[in-house]
Amino acid sequence: MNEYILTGAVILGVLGAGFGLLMVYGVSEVVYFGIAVTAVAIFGALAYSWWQTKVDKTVETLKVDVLMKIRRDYAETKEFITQAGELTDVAPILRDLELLKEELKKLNLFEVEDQNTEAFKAYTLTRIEKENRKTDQKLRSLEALAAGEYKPRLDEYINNLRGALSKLQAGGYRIQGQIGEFGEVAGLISKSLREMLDKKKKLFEKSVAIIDLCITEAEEICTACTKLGDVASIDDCIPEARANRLEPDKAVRLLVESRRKLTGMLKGTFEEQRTQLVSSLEEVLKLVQGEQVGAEWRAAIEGLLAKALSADDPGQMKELQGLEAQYKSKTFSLISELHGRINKLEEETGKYYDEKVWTPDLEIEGLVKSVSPRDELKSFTAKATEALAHLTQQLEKDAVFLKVIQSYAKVEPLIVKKLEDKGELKAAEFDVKYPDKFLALYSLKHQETTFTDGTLAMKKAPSKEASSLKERLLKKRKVQ
Amino acid sequence: MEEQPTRWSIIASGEGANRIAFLYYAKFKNPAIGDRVLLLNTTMADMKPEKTFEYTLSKDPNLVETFEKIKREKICIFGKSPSGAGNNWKVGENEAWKDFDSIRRYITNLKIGGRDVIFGICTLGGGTGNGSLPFIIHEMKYGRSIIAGGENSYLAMSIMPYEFEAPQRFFNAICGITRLLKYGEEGKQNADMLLLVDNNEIEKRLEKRDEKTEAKEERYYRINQEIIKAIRMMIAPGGRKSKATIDVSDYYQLPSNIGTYHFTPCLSMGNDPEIIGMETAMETAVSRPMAPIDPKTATMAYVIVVAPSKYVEDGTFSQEGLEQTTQDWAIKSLAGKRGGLLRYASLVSSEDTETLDVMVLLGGFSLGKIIGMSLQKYYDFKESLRVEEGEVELLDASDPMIRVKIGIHDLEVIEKRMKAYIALTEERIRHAQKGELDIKKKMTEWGFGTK
Ligand SMILES: Nc1nc2c(ncn2[C@@H]2O[C@H](COP(=O)(O)OP(=O)(O)O)[C@@H](O)[C@H]2O)c(=O)[nH]1
Repeated sequence: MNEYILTGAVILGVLGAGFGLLMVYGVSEVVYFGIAVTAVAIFGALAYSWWQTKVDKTVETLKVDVLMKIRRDYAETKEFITQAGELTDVAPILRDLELLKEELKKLNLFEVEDQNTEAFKAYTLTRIEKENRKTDQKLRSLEALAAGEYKPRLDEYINNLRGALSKLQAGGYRIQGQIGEFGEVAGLISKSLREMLDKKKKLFEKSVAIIDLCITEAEEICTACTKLGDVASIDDCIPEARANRLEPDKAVRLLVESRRKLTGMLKGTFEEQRTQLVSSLEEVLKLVQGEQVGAEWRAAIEGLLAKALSADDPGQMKELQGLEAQYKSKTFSLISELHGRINKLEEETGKYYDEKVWTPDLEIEGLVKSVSPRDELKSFTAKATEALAHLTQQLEKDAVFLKVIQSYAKVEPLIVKKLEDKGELKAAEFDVKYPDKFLALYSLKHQETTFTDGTLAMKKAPSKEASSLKERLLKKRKVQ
Repeated sequence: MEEQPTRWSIIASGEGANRIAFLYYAKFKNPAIGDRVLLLNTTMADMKPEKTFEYTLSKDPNLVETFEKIKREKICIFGKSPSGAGNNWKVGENEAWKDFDSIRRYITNLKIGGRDVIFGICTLGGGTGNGSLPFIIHEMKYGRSIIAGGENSYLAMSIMPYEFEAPQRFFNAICGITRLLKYGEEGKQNADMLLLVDNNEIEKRLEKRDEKTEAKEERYYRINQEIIKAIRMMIAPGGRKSKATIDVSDYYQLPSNIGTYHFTPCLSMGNDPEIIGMETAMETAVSRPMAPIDPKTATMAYVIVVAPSKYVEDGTFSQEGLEQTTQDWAIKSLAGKRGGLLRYASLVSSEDTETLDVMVLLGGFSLGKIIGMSLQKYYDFKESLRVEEGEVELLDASDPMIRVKIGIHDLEVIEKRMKAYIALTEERIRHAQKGELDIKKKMTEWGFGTK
């Protein structure tokens, strides 16, 4: 109805405008205008009828779309429910689904070909949509029904997995963190069937990942064992567990079993090696208590010791071996560092090489060279601790002597003065730490003095009587 | 309640003193000083006050900021003479007297408290500081207008010229020492304690350099760095993060009772506390006095020790230990057999230092060496003066514009006072060196054992 009014209004408007233009511009111009209007009208009409058929076509497509949607929804729901079948009996629900399908088929609203039937063509879009909604509702209620059945089964399943994993943990595998992650996913709330299925999938994958991890761990322990004896019987267990990695229960049983056997085999050796490492670390720790060795070194050794003490499961053989390697390399670099420092210090102290003043430790060079991290633990520790004992002692000595050298210039004039005043100076009367070092150093620098029995004194020129006595004695001897 | 450590103020007059005080102030910010520092100087023709500090600032650009601050509030230019005091102490004194109003204004601004110690600094060879400081101390102590609190102690540190300097400098020095010791009509005691340091003696202890090629400014700069260490040790008990059992500054008025109150600092800094014992540190200090003296004639000693807190806490050093060591050391080292007439020791525990620093202030020693090295030049200069109507005109060799007269009588008074002071010093030394009392005889005298 509106169309007519609109058209009428447009015609009247155009005529009115044409008339107006005719009055203003005269005939010739208005002809052009008329032609233009006519052309516009023709094109407009064409466009309009094209648009009309398109709309009709769209309705047909929409109808087919809805049909497809019904098919899809059905298939999807069937798929999920079938999946739920892994844990629970879904046969009755699947039967109901079948009935629903039959109904839809009767209505020509299920198969792809149905779109070509007369019945389908006769349906209006509205009618088809109504059927779609009905179907949708039915599918949802069937899914909900399945979810209800599925829930308790899923809980059971999760508990089962959890149980298996704790068995692994109890068996000694270090999967604390992974179990935590598993627990997090398991704790998530899932309401719909789809969410539940998704959760199950994730948890399963997580479990498999954990099992893989344990397989690797078991293999590592096994490698550690190969050196110790026959691991053939256990070797079988691990590939079997690997083959059954997708079946948690079975895999777990195999893994627990193999770890038990392996650690049993390792126990003695592990304990022995651990005791040896602990006592090595304790020995080294005793030697690094001096002020000259930095606190970081102490902290590092203490850290290793704490780790060695807390590694108490034979399955941690690999860690233990790692700790041993770290112990060796740390101790080795400590030795190199101290050695380097001594060499540096002795560039200075070496200038005062004298029995009474300062002496180097000549053994150090050889001792340091003998230490090799490639040696096995026992002999490494024996050599390293001996070297360390010498190094720390000499370092202490050098550091003290360096301080003496640094303060020497300050007190030298004082020594001169005291020596002038009294002719001698006793170490006990000289208020500095290490007075004998200072006095010995002084006498080293001043050849006219001697330092003996803690007393610094001027060298005496031999008295006349003494030298003549000596001469006489010598003569006598010749005579005899 | 814990007692507040003594507050100090520094008043430095003249160019050399200005440099020393500025260097100290800028380098060691000390809460005991706060910003109580005043630099006095006379006007100098075509010379900005910056000139004095040019070299110091060029050595350490970090000090520029402090200088900018100090320039605005802490530098007082006094006097009307367009060419300053030259090398003439009488001019310095006259200018300070004429323009005392300006000086007083600046001193009032220091807000000196009732028991503060006032630490004056001047060089002895010049005119401005040497001329004005004795007068200013006297005014503050006895003047009619009260500037300071009343119970203040006055310490003066003065610097002897180099051996090679002109005769006039030594004439100035002898007059300056005397006027710092005694001043005014009645010749009352002026400073409570006079610290003498000597450019030669300090330089001798420094690392050897070629004196001929080294710039004068550099030589002063190095000496000043030593001098400020002594100042720092004097004021150490008030330092940041420091704790002293005894605040020695409370005892700085004591020498006045003895009548001799000249001292010289002896330093032994930077000792390794794990190596050097207290006694050794004291002995090294005394083997390096900052003026030419014979420690064996000293009758007084103040020992100030600054040790890292770590070693005070662990008992390596203690006030009691220090007092014992001081006594043992004094008996061996000071005049006489009883360890001189007066000694004090104070241990300061400081978190700011890693080393054991010791200062021994030796006092009452014979002035023979110091006066001895000055006397020839003193007379050389004095004898060159022309006497007219009981006055002599002091000409300044470096600046003919500067001329001033001084009564011959005034010079005689100065000499008389110095001689009297020296006589007392020698008397005190003899007294200390005298053997022990005959106690038996004295006891009888006191009425014991008489039948
Ligand atoms: N230690 C030291 N002595 C100085 C310094 N400047 C000048 N003198 C000495 O002080 C005397 C000159 O005094 P000065 O302070 O320049 O003169 P004033 O300004 O008139 O007091 C001479 O004997 C110089 O050797 C300085 O910076 N340090």
